[in-house]
Amino acid sequence: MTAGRHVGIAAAGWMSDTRHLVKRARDEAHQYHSIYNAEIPAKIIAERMGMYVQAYTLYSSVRPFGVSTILGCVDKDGPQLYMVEPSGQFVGYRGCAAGKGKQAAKTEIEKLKLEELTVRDAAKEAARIIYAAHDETKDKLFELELSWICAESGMLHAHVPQDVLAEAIQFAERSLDEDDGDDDDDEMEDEEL
Amino acid sequence: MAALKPGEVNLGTTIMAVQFDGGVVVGADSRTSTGTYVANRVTDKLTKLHDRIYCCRSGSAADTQAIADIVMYHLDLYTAQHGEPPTVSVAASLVHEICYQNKGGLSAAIIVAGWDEQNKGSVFEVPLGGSLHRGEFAIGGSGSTFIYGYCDKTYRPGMSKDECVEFVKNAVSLAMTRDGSSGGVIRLAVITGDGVERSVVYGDNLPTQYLG
Repeated sequence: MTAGRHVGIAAAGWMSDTRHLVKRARDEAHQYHSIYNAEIPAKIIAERMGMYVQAYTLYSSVRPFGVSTILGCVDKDGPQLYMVEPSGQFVGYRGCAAGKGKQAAKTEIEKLKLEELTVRDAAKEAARIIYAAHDETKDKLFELELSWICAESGMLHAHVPQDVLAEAIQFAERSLDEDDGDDDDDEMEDEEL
Repeated sequence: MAALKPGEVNLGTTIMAVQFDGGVVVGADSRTSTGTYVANRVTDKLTKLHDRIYCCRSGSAADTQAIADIVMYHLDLYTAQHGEPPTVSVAASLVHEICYQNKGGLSAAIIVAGWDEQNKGSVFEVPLGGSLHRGEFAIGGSGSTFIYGYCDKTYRPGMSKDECVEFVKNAVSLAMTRDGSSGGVIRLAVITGDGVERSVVYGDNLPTQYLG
């Protein structure tokens, strides 16, 4: 989902909480812009989301959020990735994963040379990893969504074009056949570069 | 629009800022008046908002000082939160926000100018209604009305630092002679990546022009 022109959010967990947090992220991005007349930097929106989520761990009248959010953002310091967890902890990553298949996904991400990857290749790898981490034994509806922020999208957050998505899925299915992978769930996931 | 309250001190003023490649020159006269009485003849209307961002204040002295103080606070907060100095655009945006949201109660017209890593020298103007304009140079205050023609004719894009300083000195000096509410000395500041150089031109050193 899009939180600002240059901020994308992927989340693993409860969709209802996700939508609430995305709304909050949009409000923060908008508020920052209206005060400073500049796009909100990745670090700041991650920090503000972290503070907000953390506040929901403090009081007996509310419950913590049931969702891990990944913020993908390109600002003047270049591409950045942050993950905000229900505890309120937010950490910057070069590559990260959330949800049931995160362990499998993380080991796969670690094998990649992220510095040398192009966006189009990253899209394919992300598709491959999500397909590999997905548990086929569970008969759940499975759909892959990919979004990016790159020169091709005009440095704006957008879903990857149909042809790139199709190519990525094809690539994922082929590599899945090759080594007959396994693993989990119905999460959505995205990777930005 | 708020008229001057009884006893309120006015900066009947000439202020200006010019951008050049790598920085800005800001300048102002030094007269503060209550009616015809000169309350202060050596005022400093060039106010520091951040290390390399200055503003030129015109309108009510009290209002503009208060705005500058509030913006200064916000910029300090910004620096702490972002871990880097704010851009001139951010400072101008804060001034604009305050001036626009309180437009009914304020009598303030401010020029914000300075240097930042992204845009190098830049000049912004927030006039009476609280709008925000970016320009290559800006003039303001009661005295500025006398020098619009001179400035438009004299300014050339791409002037050097020294040419800009001369331009500001001449323009402010011309305004000070014609405008009764402007006068005293010319205060100048040259803001570049290397730092801020402040200087003063005293009354006996002002550029000369036809005096009738």
